Amino acid sequence: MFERLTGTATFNLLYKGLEVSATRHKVISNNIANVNTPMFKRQIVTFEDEMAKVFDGKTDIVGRREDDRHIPIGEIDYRQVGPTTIKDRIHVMRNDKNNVDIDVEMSDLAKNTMTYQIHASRLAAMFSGLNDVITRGGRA
Amino acid sequence: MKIDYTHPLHGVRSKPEKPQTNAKEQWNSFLGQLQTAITEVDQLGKESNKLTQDAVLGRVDNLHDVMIAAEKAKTAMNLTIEVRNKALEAYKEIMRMNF
Amino acid sequence: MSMFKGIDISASGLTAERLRMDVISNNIANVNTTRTEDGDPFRRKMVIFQARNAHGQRPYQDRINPQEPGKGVRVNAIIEDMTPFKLEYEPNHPDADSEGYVRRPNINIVHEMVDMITATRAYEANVTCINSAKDINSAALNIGSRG
Repeated sequence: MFERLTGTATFNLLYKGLEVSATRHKVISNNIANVNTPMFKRQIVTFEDEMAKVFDGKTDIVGRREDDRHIPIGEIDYRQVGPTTIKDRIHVMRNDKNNVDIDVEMSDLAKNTMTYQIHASRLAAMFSGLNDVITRGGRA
Repeated sequence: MKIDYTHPLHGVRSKPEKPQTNAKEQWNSFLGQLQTAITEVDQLGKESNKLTQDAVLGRVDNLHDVMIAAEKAKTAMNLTIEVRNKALEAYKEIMRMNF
Repeated sequence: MSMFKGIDISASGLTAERLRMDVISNNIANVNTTRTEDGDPFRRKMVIFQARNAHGQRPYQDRINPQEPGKGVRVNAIIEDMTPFKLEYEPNHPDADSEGYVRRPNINIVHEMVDMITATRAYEANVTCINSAKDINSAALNIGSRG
């Protein structure tokens, strides 16, 4: 019964977003720690593009399909999409074959931290709203 | 599909209810739902406790898992308490009626 | 399993860069050391960094699994730079050889200063990572504090 409150698409996306940001922070930290390591290649986390392709505007899991057996063959459930860490070989390398650009990493770090804070703040607001409605909504 | 209440991405799809005309059946179905809710609250509370213990023992990977589990348990508990309160109020209201 | 893996990674970066700065400082301090215990002039030292992979720290396991974030960096070794010593003509110097040449350390101050700046910048970047990790933790804690 409670999954109707916490199983909405917004909640799921926010929760997944937290996981992605947490992974991304570790990857960026590792890139920065290895900024002077010869032969090291930076890693990045891909998620947003894959999720955008799959998610496709599903507004809510409740009320869209009558039966889970109606999933067309080959379609991926957006709830299964997760962060993927891959090696980034595209960027230009220095003489020691290290391709970490510290300025890129620092800006990624700032963006990622803010993204995490946004997700957490939205989740907090959702819970706060739910609790408000539950405890005070019924009073005249 | 096995429903795992600890996994935040498993949704429960209830079948739409048939319209109930019998008051007694409605009351019993309501009590059934309340019982289910209490069981679920208990489950959520246990999961939250387990994650909190894991956090102290250093076994948890992400802090937000712990916080969200705690919030879910708290919200579910609040909801159950309010539902129980409303049921009690309704009961008292009925008992107060003079026939 | 720990919720502080990100901080561990940055801490390894701090340790490695700090060690590198110490080695560079030592090089600079010894730029004019013409005689050490073994009789030779001071040889420039360098650090070898290596990325820790997600499972082990042994040098031959250095293939990083691209699917997992790594575990930071470690200093594999401090080795001596084997480029030749500089020769300066100073016949009156006590360490001059038979032809009046003094062998001086193979240290270039400008090069060392550039390395020092690079190491400092990397050190500061790792500190910023740790601060960001703290911000992230605060944000997670705030999920439950209202209502």
